[in-house]
Amino acid sequence: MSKPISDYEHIKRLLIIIVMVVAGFIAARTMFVPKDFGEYGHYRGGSLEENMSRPLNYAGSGACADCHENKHTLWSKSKHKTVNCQTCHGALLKHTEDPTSIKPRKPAGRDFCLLCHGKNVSKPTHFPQIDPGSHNPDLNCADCHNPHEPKPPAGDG
Amino acid sequence: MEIIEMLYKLLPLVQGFIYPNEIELHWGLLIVLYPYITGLVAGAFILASLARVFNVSEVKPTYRLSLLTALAFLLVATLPLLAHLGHPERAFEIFFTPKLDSAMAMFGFVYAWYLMAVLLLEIWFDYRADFVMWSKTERGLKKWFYKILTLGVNNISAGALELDEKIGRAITVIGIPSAFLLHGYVGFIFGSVKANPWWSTPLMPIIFLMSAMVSGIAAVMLIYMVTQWLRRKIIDMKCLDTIGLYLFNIFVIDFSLEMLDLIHRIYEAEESFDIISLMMRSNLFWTQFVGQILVGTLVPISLLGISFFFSAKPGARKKLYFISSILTLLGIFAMRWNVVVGGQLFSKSFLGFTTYKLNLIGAEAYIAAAIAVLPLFILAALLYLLPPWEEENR
Repeated sequence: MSKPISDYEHIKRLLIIIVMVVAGFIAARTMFVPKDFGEYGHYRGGSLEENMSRPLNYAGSGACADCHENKHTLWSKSKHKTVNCQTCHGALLKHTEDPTSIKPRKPAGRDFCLLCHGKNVSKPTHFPQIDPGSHNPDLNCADCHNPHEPKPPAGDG
Repeated sequence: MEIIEMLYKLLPLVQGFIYPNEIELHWGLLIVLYPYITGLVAGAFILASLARVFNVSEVKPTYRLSLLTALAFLLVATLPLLAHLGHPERAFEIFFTPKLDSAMAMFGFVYAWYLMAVLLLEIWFDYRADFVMWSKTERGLKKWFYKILTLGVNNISAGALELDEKIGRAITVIGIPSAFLLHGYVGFIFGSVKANPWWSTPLMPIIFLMSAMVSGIAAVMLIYMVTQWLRRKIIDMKCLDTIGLYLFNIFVIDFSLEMLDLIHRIYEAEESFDIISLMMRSNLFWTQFVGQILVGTLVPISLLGISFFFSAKPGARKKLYFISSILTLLGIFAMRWNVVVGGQLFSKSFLGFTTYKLNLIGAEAYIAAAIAVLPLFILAALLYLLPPWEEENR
Protein backbone atom coordinates (compact mmCIF):
# COMPACT_ATOMS: atom_id res chain seq x y z
CA MET A 1 0.00 0.00 0.00
CA SER A 2 1.56 3.29 -1.03
CA LYS A 3 1.16 6.16 1.42
CA PRO A 4 0.37 9.75 0.52
CA ILE A 5 3.60 11.73 0.67
CA SER A 6 2.42 13.99 3.47
CA ASP A 7 2.43 11.08 5.91
CA TYR A 8 6.21 11.17 5.76
CA GLU A 9 6.52 14.91 6.39
CA HIS A 10 7.30 14.63 10.14
CA ILE A 11 9.86 11.91 9.45
CA LYS A 12 11.54 14.18 6.93
CA ARG A 13 11.72 17.00 9.43
CA LEU A 14 13.02 14.67 12.09
CA LEU A 15 15.73 13.48 9.72
CA ILE A 16 16.70 17.08 9.01
CA ILE A 17 17.12 17.65 12.77
CA ILE A 18 19.20 14.48 13.10
CA VAL A 19 21.40 15.55 10.18
CA MET A 20 21.78 18.99 11.79
CA VAL A 21 22.80 17.44 15.11
CA VAL A 22 25.37 15.20 13.42
CA ALA A 23 26.67 18.09 11.30
CA GLY A 24 26.84 20.29 14.40
CA PHE A 25 28.84 17.60 16.16
CA ILE A 26 31.28 17.30 13.26
CA ALA A 27 31.65 21.08 13.10
CA ALA A 28 32.20 21.30 16.86
CA ARG A 29 34.74 18.55 16.59
CA THR A 30 36.84 20.41 14.04
CA MET A 31 36.66 23.48 16.28
CA PHE A 32 37.40 21.93 19.65
CA VAL A 33 39.94 19.22 18.90
CA PRO A 34 43.36 20.82 19.44
CA LYS A 35 45.58 20.96 16.36
CA ASP A 36 48.39 19.05 18.06
CA PHE A 37 46.12 16.22 19.19
CA GLY A 38 47.49 12.84 18.14
CA GLU A 39 50.95 14.22 17.32
CA TYR A 40 52.62 11.51 19.43
CA GLY A 41 49.69 9.49 20.73
CA HIS A 42 46.12 9.82 21.98
CA TYR A 43 46.78 13.16 23.67
CA ARG A 44 47.76 16.76 22.93
CA GLY A 45 51.37 17.03 21.81
CA GLY A 46 51.64 20.37 23.60
CA SER A 47 50.81 18.79 26.95
CA LEU A 48 54.34 17.33 27.01
CA GLU A 49 55.80 20.85 26.91
CA GLU A 50 53.35 22.00 29.57
CA ASN A 51 54.31 19.18 31.88
CA MET A 52 58.01 19.75 31.29
CA SER A 53 57.64 23.40 32.22
CA ARG A 54 56.04 22.63 35.59
CA PRO A 55 58.24 23.38 38.59
CA LEU A 56 60.41 20.50 39.80
CA ASN A 57 60.46 19.47 43.45
CA TYR A 58 62.73 16.47 43.63
CA ALA A 59 66.48 16.52 43.04
CA GLY A 60 68.15 13.78 41.03
CA SER A 61 69.09 10.77 43.10
CA GLY A 62 72.83 11.46 42.77
CA ALA A 63 72.58 15.08 43.89
CA CYS A 64 72.96 14.33 47.61
CA ALA A 65 76.32 12.60 47.15
CA ASP A 66 77.94 15.81 45.88
CA CYS A 67 77.97 17.32 49.39
CA HIS A 68 77.10 14.47 51.77
CA GLU A 69 79.63 11.92 50.61
CA ASN A 70 80.06 10.19 53.98
CA LYS A 71 76.39 9.67 54.56
CA HIS A 72 75.90 8.61 50.98
CA THR A 73 78.63 5.98 51.17
CA LEU A 74 77.29 4.64 54.43
CA TRP A 75 73.73 4.52 53.08
CA SER A 76 74.64 2.99 49.72
CA LYS A 77 76.03 -0.11 51.43
CA SER A 78 73.29 -0.40 54.03
CA LYS A 79 70.01 -2.26 54.07
CA HIS A 80 68.27 1.06 53.47
CA LYS A 81 69.95 1.53 50.09
CA THR A 82 66.63 0.92 48.34
CA VAL A 83 65.02 3.75 50.30
CA ASN A 84 65.75 7.03 48.48
CA CYS A 85 67.11 10.01 50.46
CA GLN A 86 64.00 12.00 49.61
CA THR A 87 61.68 9.29 50.92
CA CYS A 88 62.64 10.30 54.46
CA HIS A 89 63.98 13.83 53.96
CA GLY A 90 61.30 15.11 51.60
CA ALA A 91 61.68 16.82 48.21
CA LEU A 92 65.15 18.37 48.10
CA LEU A 93 65.61 20.29 44.86
CA LYS A 94 65.25 23.64 46.65
CA HIS A 95 67.80 22.51 49.24
CA THR A 96 70.36 21.75 46.50
CA GLU A 97 69.84 25.24 45.10
CA ASP A 98 70.07 27.01 48.47
CA PRO A 99 71.66 24.61 50.98
CA THR A 100 72.11 27.12 53.79
CA SER A 101 68.64 28.55 54.27
CA ILE A 102 66.50 25.61 53.11
CA LYS A 103 67.11 22.61 55.33
CA PRO A 104 65.77 19.12 54.72
CA ARG A 105 63.50 17.60 57.26
CA LYS A 106 64.73 14.97 59.68
CA PRO A 107 61.97 12.62 60.76
CA ALA A 108 61.87 12.75 64.54
CA GLY A 109 60.16 10.51 67.06
CA ARG A 110 58.97 7.02 66.22
CA ASP A 111 55.90 7.38 63.98
CA PHE A 112 57.82 7.71 60.75
CA CYS A 113 59.94 4.57 61.24
CA LEU A 114 56.86 2.63 62.30
CA LEU A 115 55.25 3.22 58.92
CA CYS A 116 57.50 0.41 57.70
CA HIS A 117 58.79 -1.24 60.85
CA GLY A 118 55.68 -1.42 63.04
CA LYS A 119 54.76 -5.02 63.82
CA ASN A 120 52.15 -6.41 61.46
CA VAL A 121 51.33 -10.07 61.11
CA SER A 122 50.69 -9.57 57.40
CA LYS A 123 54.30 -8.59 56.72
CA PRO A 124 56.90 -11.18 55.76
CA THR A 125 58.55 -12.46 58.97
CA HIS A 126 62.09 -11.72 57.77
CA PHE A 127 61.25 -8.02 57.52
CA PRO A 128 62.52 -6.19 60.64
CA GLN A 129 59.54 -5.06 62.68
CA ILE A 130 58.93 -4.14 66.31
CA ASP A 131 56.00 -3.87 68.64
CA PRO A 132 56.10 -0.17 69.59
CA GLY A 133 54.40 -0.84 72.91
CA SER A 134 57.09 -3.14 74.24
CA HIS A 135 60.18 -2.06 72.27
CA ASN A 136 61.73 0.77 74.35
CA PRO A 137 58.56 2.87 74.25
CA ASP A 138 60.30 5.91 75.81
CA LEU A 139 63.16 6.16 73.34
CA ASN A 140 63.37 7.56 69.86
CA CYS A 141 64.47 5.11 67.16
CA ALA A 142 67.49 7.24 66.25
CA ASP A 143 68.77 7.06 69.85
CA CYS A 144 69.95 3.54 69.13
CA HIS A 145 69.73 3.03 65.33
CA ASN A 146 71.48 4.99 62.62
CA PRO A 147 68.95 5.29 59.81
CA HIS A 148 71.77 5.61 57.26
CA GLU A 149 73.19 2.30 58.37
CA PRO A 150 70.40 0.49 60.12
CA LYS A 151 71.32 -2.55 62.17
CA PRO A 152 70.63 -3.74 65.69
CA PRO A 153 72.77 -1.74 68.14
CA ALA A 154 75.93 -3.41 69.46
CA GLY A 155 75.21 -5.96 72.20
CA ASP A 156 71.63 -6.44 71.03
CA GLY A 157 72.34 -9.64 69.18
CA MET B 1 57.16 14.94 53.68
CA GLU B 2 53.94 16.48 54.88
CA ILE B 3 52.26 14.00 52.61
CA ILE B 4 53.98 11.14 54.39
CA GLU B 5 52.98 12.53 57.76
CA MET B 6 49.37 12.49 56.59
CA LEU B 7 49.73 8.73 56.55
CA TYR B 8 49.96 8.69 60.35
CA LYS B 9 46.33 9.75 60.52
CA LEU B 10 45.22 7.38 57.80
CA LEU B 11 46.90 4.30 59.19
CA PRO B 12 44.16 3.53 61.74
CA LEU B 13 41.91 2.98 58.69
CA VAL B 14 44.14 0.16 57.57
CA GLN B 15 44.22 -3.43 58.75
CA GLY B 16 47.06 -5.74 57.87
CA PHE B 17 49.40 -5.01 55.00
CA ILE B 18 48.22 -2.94 52.05
CA TYR B 19 49.92 -0.93 49.32
CA PRO B 20 50.08 2.87 49.80
CA ASN B 21 47.80 3.65 46.85
CA GLU B 22 45.07 1.45 48.31
CA ILE B 23 44.66 3.35 51.59
CA GLU B 24 42.25 5.87 50.13
CA LEU B 25 39.27 4.29 48.47
CA HIS B 26 38.75 6.22 45.24
CA TRP B 27 35.45 4.97 43.86
CA GLY B 28 33.01 6.00 46.56
CA LEU B 29 29.31 6.62 46.92
CA LEU B 30 29.01 8.47 43.60
CA ILE B 31 30.35 5.50 41.68
CA VAL B 32 27.93 3.27 43.60
CA LEU B 33 25.12 5.52 42.45
CA TYR B 34 26.14 5.44 38.80
CA PRO B 35 25.46 1.76 38.04
CA TYR B 36 22.39 1.97 40.27
CA ILE B 37 20.84 4.78 38.23
CA THR B 38 21.86 3.26 34.90
CA GLY B 39 20.32 -0.01 36.03
CA LEU B 40 17.02 1.67 36.79
CA VAL B 41 17.03 3.10 33.25
CA ALA B 42 17.73 -0.22 31.57
CA GLY B 43 15.19 -2.06 33.74
CA ALA B 44 12.42 0.48 33.21
CA PHE B 45 13.01 0.39 29.46
CA ILE B 46 12.85 -3.38 29.35
CA LEU B 47 9.54 -3.28 31.20
CA ALA B 48 8.27 -0.83 28.58
CA SER B 49 9.41 -3.13 25.80
CA LEU B 50 7.39 -5.98 27.33
CA ALA B 51 4.26 -4.07 26.41
CA ARG B 52 5.47 -2.87 23.04
CA VAL B 53 7.47 -5.72 21.55
CA PHE B 54 6.38 -8.78 23.47
CA ASN B 55 2.74 -7.74 23.51
CA VAL B 56 2.23 -8.28 27.21
CA SER B 57 -0.96 -6.26 27.18
CA GLU B 58 -1.42 -6.38 30.97
CA VAL B 59 1.52 -4.02 31.53
CA LYS B 60 0.26 -1.52 28.96
CA PRO B 61 -0.85 0.98 31.68
CA THR B 62 2.78 1.38 32.71
CA TYR B 63 4.24 1.53 29.20
CA ARG B 64 4.60 5.30 28.98
CA LEU B 65 5.35 5.64 32.67
CA SER B 66 8.27 3.22 32.22
CA LEU B 67 9.62 5.21 29.29
CA LEU B 68 9.41 8.50 31.21
CA THR B 69 11.00 6.87 34.28
CA ALA B 70 13.83 5.61 32.08
CA LEU B 71 14.29 9.09 30.61
CA ALA B 72 14.22 10.85 34.00
CA PHE B 73 16.94 8.58 35.35
CA LEU B 74 18.94 8.53 32.13
CA LEU B 75 19.19 12.32 32.15
CA VAL B 76 21.04 12.21 35.47
CA ALA B 77 22.98 8.99 34.85
CA THR B 78 26.15 10.83 33.91
CA LEU B 79 26.03 13.28 36.82
CA PRO B 80 27.63 10.95 39.40
CA LEU B 81 30.54 10.41 37.01
CA LEU B 82 30.90 14.11 36.26
CA ALA B 83 30.75 14.96 39.98
CA HIS B 84 33.23 12.22 40.81
CA LEU B 85 35.76 13.22 38.16
CA GLY B 86 35.41 16.97 38.59
CA HIS B 87 36.02 19.09 35.48
CA PRO B 88 32.59 18.57 33.89
CA GLU B 89 33.70 20.96 31.13
CA ARG B 90 35.92 18.19 29.80
CA ALA B 91 33.02 15.79 29.40
CA PHE B 92 32.73 16.38 25.65
CA GLU B 93 36.30 15.36 25.02
CA ILE B 94 35.33 11.69 25.08
CA PHE B 95 33.11 12.47 22.08
CA PHE B 96 35.51 14.74 20.24
CA THR B 97 38.55 12.50 20.54
CA PRO B 98 37.05 9.03 20.84
CA LYS B 99 39.37 6.28 22.03
CA LEU B 100 37.90 3.23 20.39
CA ASP B 101 39.83 0.59 22.32
CA SER B 102 38.85 1.85 25.78
CA ALA B 103 35.56 0.51 27.11
CA MET B 104 35.36 3.33 29.65
CA ALA B 105 35.94 6.00 27.02
CA MET B 106 33.26 4.57 24.74
CA PHE B 107 30.61 5.07 27.43
CA GLY B 108 29.78 8.48 26.01
CA PHE B 109 28.70 6.91 22.75
CA VAL B 110 26.76 4.09 24.40
CA TYR B 111 24.97 6.70 26.50
CA ALA B 112 24.34 9.11 23.62
CA TRP B 113 23.04 6.31 21.42
CA TYR B 114 20.69 5.11 24.08
CA LEU B 115 19.43 8.58 24.97
CA MET B 116 19.09 10.07 21.51
CA ALA B 117 18.67 7.19 19.10
CA VAL B 118 16.47 5.07 21.33
CA LEU B 119 14.70 6.70 24.23
CA LEU B 120 13.98 10.20 22.94
CA LEU B 121 12.91 8.90 19.53
CA GLU B 122 10.68 6.23 20.97
CA ILE B 123 9.00 8.72 23.28
CA TRP B 124 8.63 11.19 20.43
CA PHE B 125 6.99 8.70 18.09
CA ASP B 126 4.74 7.43 20.84
CA TYR B 127 3.59 10.89 21.91
CA ARG B 128 3.48 12.58 18.50
CA ALA B 129 -0.28 12.32 18.09
CA ASP B 130 -0.70 13.70 21.61
CA PHE B 131 1.67 16.58 20.87
CA VAL B 132 -0.50 17.52 17.91
CA MET B 133 -3.64 17.29 20.04
CA TRP B 134 -2.18 19.19 23.01
CA SER B 135 -0.75 21.89 20.73
CA LYS B 136 -4.35 22.63 19.82
CA THR B 137 -6.01 22.30 23.23
CA GLU B 138 -3.38 23.79 25.58
CA ARG B 139 -2.65 27.47 26.04
CA GLY B 140 0.33 29.75 26.58
CA LEU B 141 3.83 28.37 26.95
CA LYS B 142 2.65 24.79 27.03
CA LYS B 143 0.97 25.21 23.65
CA TRP B 144 4.26 26.42 22.16
CA PHE B 145 6.18 23.67 23.86
CA TYR B 146 3.97 21.05 22.18
CA LYS B 147 3.94 22.98 18.91
CA ILE B 148 7.73 22.86 18.72
CA LEU B 149 7.66 19.16 19.52
CA THR B 150 5.28 18.49 16.61
CA LEU B 151 7.94 19.99 14.31
CA GLY B 152 5.12 21.86 12.67
CA VAL B 153 3.44 18.75 11.30
CA ASN B 154 -0.14 18.28 12.38
CA ASN B 155 -0.77 15.22 10.29
CA ILE B 156 -2.31 12.51 12.44
CA SER B 157 -3.96 10.62 9.63
CA ALA B 158 -4.27 6.87 9.98
CA GLY B 159 -1.37 6.42 7.56
CA ALA B 160 0.96 8.73 9.48
CA LEU B 161 0.05 7.11 12.81
CA GLU B 162 0.58 3.67 11.38
CA LEU B 163 4.02 4.78 10.26
CA ASP B 164 4.75 6.14 13.77
CA GLU B 165 3.67 2.85 15.26
CA LYS B 166 5.91 0.86 12.91
CA ILE B 167 8.96 3.06 13.47
CA GLY B 168 8.32 3.18 17.23
CA ARG B 169 8.18 -0.59 17.29
CA ALA B 170 11.40 -0.87 15.30
CA ILE B 171 13.11 1.53 17.70
CA THR B 172 11.96 -0.57 20.67
CA VAL B 173 13.35 -3.68 19.00
CA ILE B 174 16.68 -1.88 18.56
CA GLY B 175 16.23 -0.50 22.07
CA ILE B 176 16.25 -3.88 23.80
CA PRO B 177 19.80 -4.81 22.76
CA SER B 178 20.73 -1.17 23.39
CA ALA B 179 19.41 -1.37 26.95
CA PHE B 180 21.31 -4.62 27.37
CA LEU B 181 24.38 -2.89 25.96
CA LEU B 182 23.98 0.09 28.31
CA HIS B 183 23.85 -1.97 31.44
CA GLY B 184 25.83 -4.96 30.30
CA TYR B 185 28.48 -2.39 29.55
CA VAL B 186 28.53 -1.15 33.15
CA GLY B 187 29.03 -4.72 34.35
CA PHE B 188 31.64 -5.21 31.66
CA ILE B 189 33.67 -2.28 33.04
CA PHE B 190 33.86 -3.98 36.44
CA GLY B 191 34.09 -7.52 35.10
CA SER B 192 37.05 -6.66 32.90
CA VAL B 193 39.27 -5.30 35.69
CA LYS B 194 41.39 -8.42 35.64
CA ALA B 195 43.61 -7.36 38.54
CA ASN B 196 40.64 -7.33 40.88
CA PRO B 197 39.36 -10.80 41.77
CA TRP B 198 36.16 -9.42 43.35
CA TRP B 199 35.16 -7.87 40.02
CA SER B 200 36.85 -9.91 37.36
CA THR B 201 34.29 -12.45 36.23
CA PRO B 202 32.59 -12.81 32.85
CA LEU B 203 29.32 -13.24 34.76
CA MET B 204 29.50 -9.61 35.85
CA PRO B 205 27.75 -8.06 32.80
CA ILE B 206 24.96 -10.64 33.04
CA ILE B 207 24.51 -10.18 36.78
CA PHE B 208 24.45 -6.41 36.32
CA LEU B 209 21.91 -6.75 33.57
CA MET B 210 19.58 -9.01 35.54
CA SER B 211 19.83 -6.84 38.64
CA ALA B 212 19.20 -3.79 36.45
CA MET B 213 15.97 -5.36 35.22
CA VAL B 214 15.00 -6.21 38.79
CA SER B 215 15.62 -2.69 40.08
CA GLY B 216 13.99 -0.98 37.07
CA ILE B 217 10.86 -3.11 37.28
CA ALA B 218 10.65 -2.56 41.05
CA ALA B 219 11.08 1.18 40.54
CA VAL B 220 8.30 1.43 37.94
CA MET B 221 6.05 -0.74 40.11
CA LEU B 222 6.59 1.57 43.07
CA ILE B 223 6.23 4.73 40.99
CA TYR B 224 3.04 3.38 39.40
CA MET B 225 1.53 2.62 42.81
CA VAL B 226 2.57 5.96 44.31
CA THR B 227 1.39 8.04 41.32
CA GLN B 228 -1.97 6.26 41.20
CA TRP B 229 -2.35 6.83 44.92
CA LEU B 230 -1.40 10.52 44.63
CA ARG B 231 -3.85 10.97 41.75
CA ARG B 232 -6.52 9.05 43.67
CA LYS B 233 -6.93 6.59 40.81
CA ILE B 234 -7.55 2.88 41.01
CA ILE B 235 -4.51 0.66 40.60
CA ASP B 236 -4.93 -1.80 37.74
CA MET B 237 -4.39 -5.04 39.68
CA LYS B 238 -3.94 -7.13 36.55
CA CYS B 239 -1.11 -4.85 35.52
CA LEU B 240 0.43 -4.83 38.99
CA ASP B 241 0.18 -8.63 39.31
CA THR B 242 1.89 -9.08 35.94
CA ILE B 243 4.69 -6.68 36.85
CA GLY B 244 5.00 -8.47 40.20
CA LEU B 245 5.25 -11.81 38.47
CA TYR B 246 7.96 -10.56 36.10
CA LEU B 247 9.79 -9.02 39.04
CA PHE B 248 9.60 -12.31 40.91
CA ASN B 249 10.81 -14.40 37.96
CA ILE B 250 13.68 -12.14 36.98
CA PHE B 251 14.65 -11.67 40.62
CA VAL B 252 14.89 -15.45 41.06
CA ILE B 253 17.13 -15.70 37.99
CA ASP B 254 19.23 -12.76 39.17
CA PHE B 255 19.64 -14.21 42.65
CA SER B 256 20.49 -17.65 41.26
CA LEU B 257 23.21 -16.14 39.08
CA GLU B 258 24.65 -14.20 42.00
CA MET B 259 24.67 -17.28 44.18
CA LEU B 260 26.15 -19.31 41.33
CA ASP B 261 28.96 -16.78 41.18
CA LEU B 262 29.43 -16.98 44.94
CA ILE B 263 29.37 -20.78 45.07
CA HIS B 264 31.79 -20.88 42.16
CA ARG B 265 34.17 -18.60 44.06
CA ILE B 266 33.88 -20.72 47.19
CA TYR B 267 34.44 -23.97 45.30
CA GLU B 268 37.25 -22.67 43.12
CA ALA B 269 38.90 -21.04 46.18
CA GLU B 270 41.54 -19.17 44.20
CA GLU B 271 44.42 -17.55 46.05
CA SER B 272 42.31 -14.41 46.51
CA PHE B 273 39.52 -16.32 48.19
CA ASP B 274 40.87 -16.14 51.75
CA ILE B 275 40.82 -12.37 51.80
CA ILE B 276 37.48 -12.24 49.94
CA SER B 277 35.78 -14.61 52.34
CA LEU B 278 37.23 -12.68 55.28
CA MET B 279 35.86 -9.50 53.73
CA MET B 280 32.40 -11.02 53.24
CA ARG B 281 32.33 -12.17 56.84
CA SER B 282 33.59 -8.88 58.31
CA ASN B 283 33.55 -5.64 56.29
CA LEU B 284 30.65 -6.59 54.03
CA PHE B 285 28.62 -8.60 56.53
CA TRP B 286 25.93 -5.98 57.06
CA THR B 287 25.72 -4.70 53.51
CA GLN B 288 25.98 -8.05 51.76
CA PHE B 289 24.53 -10.81 53.90
CA VAL B 290 22.01 -8.68 55.73
CA GLY B 291 21.34 -5.79 53.30
CA GLN B 292 21.68 -7.42 49.91
CA ILE B 293 20.91 -11.10 50.38
CA LEU B 294 18.52 -11.22 53.34
CA VAL B 295 16.56 -7.96 53.47
CA GLY B 296 17.10 -6.95 49.84
CA THR B 297 16.52 -10.29 48.11
CA LEU B 298 15.16 -13.19 50.17
CA VAL B 299 12.52 -11.11 51.96
CA PRO B 300 11.09 -9.44 48.80
CA ILE B 301 11.21 -12.70 46.85
CA SER B 302 9.37 -14.41 49.70
CA LEU B 303 6.82 -11.62 49.95
CA LEU B 304 6.15 -11.78 46.21
CA GLY B 305 5.98 -15.57 46.45
CA ILE B 306 3.50 -15.40 49.32
CA SER B 307 1.24 -13.06 47.36
CA PHE B 308 1.15 -15.51 44.42
CA PHE B 309 1.04 -18.86 46.12
CA PHE B 310 -1.46 -17.94 48.80
CA SER B 311 -3.60 -15.85 46.42
CA ALA B 312 -3.65 -12.91 48.78
CA LYS B 313 -6.51 -10.41 48.54
CA PRO B 314 -5.91 -7.31 46.34
CA GLY B 315 -5.45 -5.02 49.34
CA ALA B 316 -2.90 -7.35 50.89
CA ARG B 317 -1.17 -7.88 47.53
CA LYS B 318 -0.75 -4.12 47.10
CA LYS B 319 0.91 -3.90 50.49
CA LEU B 320 3.16 -6.86 49.71
CA TYR B 321 4.14 -5.36 46.32
CA PHE B 322 4.75 -1.98 47.91
CA ILE B 323 7.04 -3.36 50.60
CA SER B 324 8.84 -5.76 48.29
CA SER B 325 9.52 -3.07 45.66
CA ILE B 326 11.09 -0.80 48.29
CA LEU B 327 13.16 -3.65 49.73
CA THR B 328 14.21 -4.66 46.21
CA LEU B 329 15.41 -1.16 45.44
CA LEU B 330 17.38 -1.10 48.68
CA GLY B 331 18.77 -4.58 48.00
CA ILE B 332 20.01 -3.68 44.52
CA PHE B 333 21.57 -0.52 45.91
CA ALA B 334 23.34 -2.66 48.50
CA MET B 335 24.49 -4.95 45.67
CA ARG B 336 26.04 -2.00 43.79
CA TRP B 337 27.66 -0.86 47.03
CA ASN B 338 29.12 -4.30 47.72
CA VAL B 339 30.51 -4.59 44.20
CA VAL B 340 31.98 -1.09 43.96
CA VAL B 341 33.18 -0.55 47.52
CA GLY B 342 33.92 -4.20 48.27
CA GLY B 343 36.28 -4.39 45.32
CA GLN B 344 38.45 -1.69 46.83
CA LEU B 345 38.40 -2.68 50.50
CA PHE B 346 40.92 -5.49 50.24
CA SER B 347 44.53 -5.09 49.17
CA LYS B 348 45.88 -6.60 45.97
CA SER B 349 48.53 -8.06 48.27
CA PHE B 350 45.62 -10.15 49.65
CA LEU B 351 47.04 -9.36 53.09
CA GLY B 352 45.06 -6.41 54.33
CA PHE B 353 42.06 -4.09 54.21
CA THR B 354 41.36 -0.43 54.08
CA THR B 355 38.16 1.24 55.32
CA TYR B 356 35.64 3.38 53.47
CA LYS B 357 34.45 6.11 55.75
CA LEU B 358 31.64 8.00 54.09
CA ASN B 359 31.68 11.47 55.51
CA LEU B 360 27.97 12.04 55.98
CA ILE B 361 28.32 15.78 56.12
CA GLY B 362 30.94 15.88 53.36
CA ALA B 363 30.42 17.08 49.81
CA GLU B 364 30.27 13.55 48.40
CA ALA B 365 27.22 12.60 50.46
CA TYR B 366 25.40 15.85 49.67
CA ILE B 367 26.09 15.57 45.96
CA ALA B 368 25.09 11.91 45.90
CA ALA B 369 21.85 12.66 47.76
CA ALA B 370 21.05 15.50 45.36
CA ILE B 371 21.72 13.30 42.33
CA ALA B 372 19.61 10.49 43.77
CA VAL B 373 16.62 12.78 44.31
CA LEU B 374 16.93 14.80 41.10
CA PRO B 375 15.38 12.14 38.78
CA LEU B 376 12.19 12.23 40.87
CA PHE B 377 11.81 15.95 40.20
CA ILE B 378 12.59 15.43 36.52
CA LEU B 379 10.03 12.64 36.43
CA ALA B 380 7.45 14.90 38.08
CA ALA B 381 8.09 17.54 35.40
CA LEU B 382 7.86 14.93 32.64
CA LEU B 383 4.62 13.57 34.06
CA TYR B 384 3.25 17.10 34.07
CA LEU B 385 4.33 17.86 30.50
CA LEU B 386 3.77 14.41 28.99
CA PRO B 387 0.96 12.85 31.01
CA PRO B 388 1.22 9.11 30.43
CA TRP B 389 -2.13 8.23 31.97
CA GLU B 390 -4.25 5.94 29.86
CA GLU B 391 -7.70 7.01 31.02
CA GLU B 392 -7.11 10.64 30.06
CA ASN B 393 -5.44 10.07 26.71
CA ARG B 394 -7.16 7.23 25.03
